[in-house]
Amino acid sequence: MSVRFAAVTLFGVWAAPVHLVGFILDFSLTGMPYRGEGMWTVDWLSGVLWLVGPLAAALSAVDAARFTRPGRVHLVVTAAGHQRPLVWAAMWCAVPLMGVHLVAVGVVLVLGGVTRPSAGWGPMMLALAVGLLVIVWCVALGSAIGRFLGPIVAGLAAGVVCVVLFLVIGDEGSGFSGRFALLETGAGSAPRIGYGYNLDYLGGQALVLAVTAGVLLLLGVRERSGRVLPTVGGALLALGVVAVVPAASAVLPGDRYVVDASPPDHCSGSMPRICTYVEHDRVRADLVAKIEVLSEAALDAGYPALVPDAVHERSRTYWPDNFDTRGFQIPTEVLEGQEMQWFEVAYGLVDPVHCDALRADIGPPDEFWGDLTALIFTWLDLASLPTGDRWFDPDHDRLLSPGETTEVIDRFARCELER
Amino acid sequence: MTVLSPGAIVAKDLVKKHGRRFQLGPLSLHLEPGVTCLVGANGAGKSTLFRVVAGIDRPSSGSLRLEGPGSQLLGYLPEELDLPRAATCEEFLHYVAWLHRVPRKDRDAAVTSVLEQTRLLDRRQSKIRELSKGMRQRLGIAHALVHNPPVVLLDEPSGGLDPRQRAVLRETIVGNAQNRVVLVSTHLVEDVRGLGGRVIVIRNGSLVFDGSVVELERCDVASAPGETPLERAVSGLIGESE
Repeated sequence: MSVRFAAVTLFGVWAAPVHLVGFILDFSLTGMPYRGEGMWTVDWLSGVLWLVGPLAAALSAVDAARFTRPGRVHLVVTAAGHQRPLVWAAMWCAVPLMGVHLVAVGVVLVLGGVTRPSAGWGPMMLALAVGLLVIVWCVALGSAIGRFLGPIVAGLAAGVVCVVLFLVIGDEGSGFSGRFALLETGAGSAPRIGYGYNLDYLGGQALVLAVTAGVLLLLGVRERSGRVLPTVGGALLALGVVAVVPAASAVLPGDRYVVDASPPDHCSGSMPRICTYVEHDRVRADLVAKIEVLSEAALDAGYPALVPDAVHERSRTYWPDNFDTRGFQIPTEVLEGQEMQWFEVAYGLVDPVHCDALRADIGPPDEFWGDLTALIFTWLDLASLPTGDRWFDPDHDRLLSPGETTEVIDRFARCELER
Repeated sequence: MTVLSPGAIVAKDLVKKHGRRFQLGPLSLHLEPGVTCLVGANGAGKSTLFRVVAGIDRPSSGSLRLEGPGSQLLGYLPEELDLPRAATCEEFLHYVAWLHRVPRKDRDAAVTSVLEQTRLLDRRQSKIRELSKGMRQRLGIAHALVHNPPVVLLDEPSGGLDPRQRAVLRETIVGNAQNRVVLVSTHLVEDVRGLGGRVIVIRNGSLVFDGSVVELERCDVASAPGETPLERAVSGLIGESE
């Protein structure tokens, strides 16, 4: 089937430009916070499959339906290997879509300077392959539905079925729901540093997607009394697909990610020593400069208790276990390209993240928040720095002396959050 | 185009049942190269026979065998062919050749040859939507011939064509029946005479005549409707439409 013939006779080909427009909108509207993070790039960009998957299923269904309508079906059922044109039509939808997806992910990985992804290239490529297989699966589903219905009904039915399946066997928890979901691609708006991919999950998912998509694509058709029906073998295999999907949920692991609580390893400086994850190198220079400004101001003003031995960037599963090393979380807004606020930097440097009480169901007492903001305002005042959109309110906020500062820091170090 | 070894359709006690309402056969036939017209009233079983021969429907009993060289034995033009209107004639025929597994290196020659045989060579690059109805029917015949099958089924190919288009179409069919079984379904007496060759008449699923046009004319029934002996013979044999 030639490119031109496919372009003028098939609708599925046109899903690829829509996929491309989706990516361009994503790139231009979101600030691309995932740049530099390989895992997050792969997972975030798979989010567009929730839109593209049903569209591809619908277009693929329309194409398949047009192959099996009266006046054309004879070419399918009388040709040797009668699924061949149907499979090719499906591939004319799936392959350009996969190409756009691969190129988009590749461009973002290059733009983000990803050279050493924490998840490893192998697992990341497996996760990417799962995304591509989800595309093939949606197209195969649409093609299978389209073979037995008229074009318009087939398109609508396939689109709706695909949306429903994304809701039922997609993942509402962006990979953290604890259950296996066949159409899960991990789309999520939070960084993935602190996790690695669960290869058993991804491998099982890839296998089930590939096998079931293959069965759907090769679903045989026959015509009886003017009606297009599945072949007996094809119908049995399609029922097998319906059975395999829930069975896979029972057998395969429920967690798409495994915890990787590695500390950051891109370190520099000595007072304090600042370590960040290599994935965030693009925002590191500004962070280091701001921490150094704050540290010098505190030491010059006689507030050495404020300055820790080290500052470590936190991940979703790693944070320092003592207050000599402060845990700093880079805000998502900063990853989106906004300038890091001084208030946020100071907050990150005095937040006692090593204390389990901060992660308990019941939050810390009000006194803790008063002490925390007092430390932040004191530090910003020492350095004559702006407080951003958090104004100092003399009725509620206070500035601390060197002694009071030391006392609060010592209490925070012991995780005594109440006075 | 390579010269064909002769093809054949061999049916023995062929029966196709549609529930309790209709039964085609039992039919025993041996169709050899040349044009054979299949004539019958609406509902007589012409399309059922075509679908069984085309392999779309399975016979209920009996046997059917297509003979000829190669694996792609059959070319089939259904009564209503749905052509991709945005494609050119060449693109569509390339696609059909690909579908029938004509080797890539032979496809250009096969398409050129079949366009020539159906007098559409000068329309090679024309979009299908730009073709007249007669040209589209000839393209339909081309699509049934592009893989050079030894057996060709043409279901009502002249339906809806004007007299001149029908004449051109008949010439095209006759010109492509060398060493090839061409079974043409029609209820136009003009086609029966113009295509010549063998005529098979079926009525209510049963074979009621199998012979030449000359032999068919001898079945003239004076009381049957029609202006010529052939018309009266055909209308007498096929009976009322179902």
